[in-house]
Amino acid sequence: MIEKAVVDAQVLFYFHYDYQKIPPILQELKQKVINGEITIILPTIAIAELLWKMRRAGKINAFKEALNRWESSENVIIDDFNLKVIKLMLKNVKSHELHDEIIAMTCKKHSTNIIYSKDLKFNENFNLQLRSW
Amino acid sequence: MTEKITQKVSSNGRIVIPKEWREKLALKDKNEVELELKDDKTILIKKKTHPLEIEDNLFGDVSPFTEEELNQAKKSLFPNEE
Repeated sequence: MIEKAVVDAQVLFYFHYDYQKIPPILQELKQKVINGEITIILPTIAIAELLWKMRRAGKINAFKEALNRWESSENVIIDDFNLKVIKLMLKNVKSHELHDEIIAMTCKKHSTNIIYSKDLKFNENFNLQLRSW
Repeated sequence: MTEKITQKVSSNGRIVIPKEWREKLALKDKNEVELELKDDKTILIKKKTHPLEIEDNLFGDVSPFTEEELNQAKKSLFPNEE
């Protein structure tokens, strides 16, 4: 079975950054996506964070192009924040930062435990397998 | 530069892409190719490019996220959260 993983806003940024400057683990991830060895899930909330950054940098056209590429890429799923995620959030007893909880529950929605991120809270609070750099 | 070869087409339409050409295009097992028919005369075979393979540094002149930026972006999404 092909591995699935959720990625955060930083990963989305690095996918379109100078390849030589990308952390090796993300170079490897990008190659695996291209080769069809992994499916990545892009939460819309992470896409929104990147939009926030690229707007401030005046790079909205570059962002639009990146979005087009994700939409037309095989092995890339753009996941809309929806009621399924809310229902998974209801199962959590503790209150968490909404941003982190939505992304963590996106993992659950897609039956994966793997997340590419630098945020340790995904492991500490949600027991996800963090692939960091 | 254009290279040419002649090949026989098998009964079910298969042809073999020479090993040297496959290597030049880094065409591996299970990679996909696109076939294009031009003017009912010419068939063009192109390696299908995954959109993430395009190395044009779309965000090359922007710095990667800082911790501060990530926090600000989160706050922008949920401003009243503690």
